[in-house]
Amino acid sequence: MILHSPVATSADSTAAAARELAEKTLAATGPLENVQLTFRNRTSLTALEAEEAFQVVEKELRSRGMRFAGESETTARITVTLSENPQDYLWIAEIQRDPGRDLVIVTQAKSADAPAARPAAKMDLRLTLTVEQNDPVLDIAYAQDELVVLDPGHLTLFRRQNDRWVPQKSAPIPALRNPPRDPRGRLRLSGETFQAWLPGFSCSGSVSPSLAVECEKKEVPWPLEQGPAQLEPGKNSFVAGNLPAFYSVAAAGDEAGRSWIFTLVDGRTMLVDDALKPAGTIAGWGSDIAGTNSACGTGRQILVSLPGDALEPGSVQAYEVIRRQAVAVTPPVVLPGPVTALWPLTSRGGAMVVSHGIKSGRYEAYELSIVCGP
Amino acid sequence: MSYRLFAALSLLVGLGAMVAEGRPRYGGTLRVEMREAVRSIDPGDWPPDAQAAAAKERLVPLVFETLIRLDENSRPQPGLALSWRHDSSYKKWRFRLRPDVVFDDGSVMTVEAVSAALRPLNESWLVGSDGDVLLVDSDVPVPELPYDLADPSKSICLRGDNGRISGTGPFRVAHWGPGRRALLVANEQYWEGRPFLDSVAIEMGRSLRDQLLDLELNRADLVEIWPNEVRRLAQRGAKIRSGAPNILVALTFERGRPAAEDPRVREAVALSIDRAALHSVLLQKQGEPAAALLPQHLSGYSYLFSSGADAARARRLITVPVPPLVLAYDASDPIARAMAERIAVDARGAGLTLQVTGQAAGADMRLARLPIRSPLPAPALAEIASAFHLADLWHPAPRDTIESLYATEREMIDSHRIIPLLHLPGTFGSTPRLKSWATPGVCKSGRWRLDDMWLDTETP
Repeated sequence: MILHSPVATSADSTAAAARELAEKTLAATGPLENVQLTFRNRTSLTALEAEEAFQVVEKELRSRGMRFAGESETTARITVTLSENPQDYLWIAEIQRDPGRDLVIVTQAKSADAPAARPAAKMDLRLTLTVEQNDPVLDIAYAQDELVVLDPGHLTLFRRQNDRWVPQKSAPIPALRNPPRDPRGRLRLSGETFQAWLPGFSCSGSVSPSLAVECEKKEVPWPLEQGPAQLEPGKNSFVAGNLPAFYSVAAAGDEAGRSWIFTLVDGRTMLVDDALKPAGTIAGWGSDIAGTNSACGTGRQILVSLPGDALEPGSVQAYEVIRRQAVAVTPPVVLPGPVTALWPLTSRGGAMVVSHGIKSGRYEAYELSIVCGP
Repeated sequence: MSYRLFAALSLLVGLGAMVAEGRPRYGGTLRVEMREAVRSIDPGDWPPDAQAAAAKERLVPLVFETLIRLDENSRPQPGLALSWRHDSSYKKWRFRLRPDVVFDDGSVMTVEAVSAALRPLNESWLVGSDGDVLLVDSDVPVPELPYDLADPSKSICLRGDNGRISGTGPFRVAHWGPGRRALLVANEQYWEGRPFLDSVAIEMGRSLRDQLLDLELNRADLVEIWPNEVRRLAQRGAKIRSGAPNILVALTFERGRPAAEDPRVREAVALSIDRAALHSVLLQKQGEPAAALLPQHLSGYSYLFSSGADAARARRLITVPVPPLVLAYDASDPIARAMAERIAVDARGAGLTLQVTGQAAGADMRLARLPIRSPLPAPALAEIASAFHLADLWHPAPRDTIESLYATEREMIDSHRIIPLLHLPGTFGSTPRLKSWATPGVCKSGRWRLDDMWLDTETP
């Protein structure tokens, strides 16, 4: 039996397709002299990837006796187009010479993985890509040389190797039978032990000497910045005390005193004082915020996801709250897709932000830090 | 500006100015309108008409699911089946089902229930079970079975004794008024997560004109629109969502009509049409001009066909006077008449007279549109051949290579019995408060992902 698995396109299969195209082309034309060869890429492959493929074709044709020339001396023109349909790449050679035109088509099964989008450039807010994967990254936490990544089905331990985080071990996490569609998750690491909060589950364990996770099916309060809050069952919002349901919370503060900011389910962003009494609203923010400390400005910034939806790239901008007014202190940084998670990284300062790439379809987790300008 | 138009404009601009949110909110009823009157949501009762089938294909996946899904690149992915395997001959297939899935009547999805649902769908399949593994055997190789099983007509449903059918999808049917309106409510137990929306209210049988007005007057949240409305609506604050250009707009000649049986006349009509003008002027550059029947993304070779007009060559083909030809268009299609008239103007340049009419009877040729349902090139071309009565040009064997498929399509086009004009996307307009979360909300296939959509509310 053959297991369902996507057919991978490899250098081998590219070479085989190029060979077949060359063989079929030669069969149609015989060895030709003074051929003008041109290439076109009509696929989603990058110009570089396509160029590599075309070089293989040219080499195969040469090795079979075909000789190429400039335009003025041409006796035949061959246009090789790399095209695609849902299942295959199509290598199409159009051969034009007296007395007519020949067509050769060769197919090459596609790889399952589409080209991935790459992160945006650095700005005053510094973005550093940490990990990317197909499953939604809910939260990350750093140990000394290790990184722990929480997604709805796994807790995965990464180690730094050659400047990249490479997965080492993964432990499964139980899932609800009908998990929420917009899952949230929080991870706290303390030394070699951790705690994780997920919809319907509370987990704990250790990362050393080996990765071990134990989960219990119970709703426990999540440790948010203003204190414990309960995730609403089956939903993506929190409740705490008499506060209206909210998505996220961050502390703000200046000489006017400490305040809290809540992004509410009803669309408002509400500023409350230390006694949790309403002190104003803020316009133009999205639903995720994370407070962070830095050596810049007032020393306290709120990282804010800006409004958008799945059709648009997400963006994050840093604000300070001065005399209960929100003031943008950095330009926004644009992400490859909407923001699906934004949590403070308490151990390192800054925050982690996860974006669901519009083109790649993958979840990319970034470390987000504030860089003081000149 | 009329009061009505002013009011409509104000509503859309007002909605556009609303503060949007990032994270999705639960709740609300989505108001959807569609032109087709879908009589039944039963996946076992599939309409033969292509337009009706395409409309039903948008509704069925809201309630019912298939063993296998296709992703945005048309690659098979797990649906109700978590994994599958086959023997080397592609005759024996084994599927492992997703555990803990329940039908909306509360019963658990079992391998027996899935077998019972699949058995009537194809008599050549021998469907059975071995423990918790679903077996599908066939006497002939079926390498494309995953694609077949991903078709909504192969959805898994549970038929109760009372005639009720239950699905496993994100919504369940709360009310079904055949061909008129339906109310779907969120399936709280949906294995992939309860939808954000509480319910979806669907109005069927609404003309495109009425849908547009309802969107502008904030009486609907999601409507079908013609591509020529895209720019105007976007400028007025509506959100536009489109699939891939999978709707073929073509001119076909009626068999048996004397003028239409003359191949030179057909070729002259084909050569006279300026597709680029149709595309840029009437369709405002939405979709693609088409020289091939299959769109480029589906075949990979459609660029090999030429769509350039050649009026001089067309004139040379007409050596004897040709009586006026009657071109019929769909009178319920708001842009079809303008397209037909444009084609008539082009044909005049080739020395041909076309009389355009909204009546199909007595026509020599007709302007038609066909939503292409299949995600694979060979079955898609077969669909076109069947819908446009080109069966004599469709050679089922050998169709297993892309070269033979190209040759078949080339033969169809060179017959000029069908003249491809445009490939258009299924296009939808929505209020700005309708948002999507993990997907664009409308798939490349043109199907809706209402389970992934949510409604924003106005900021106080």
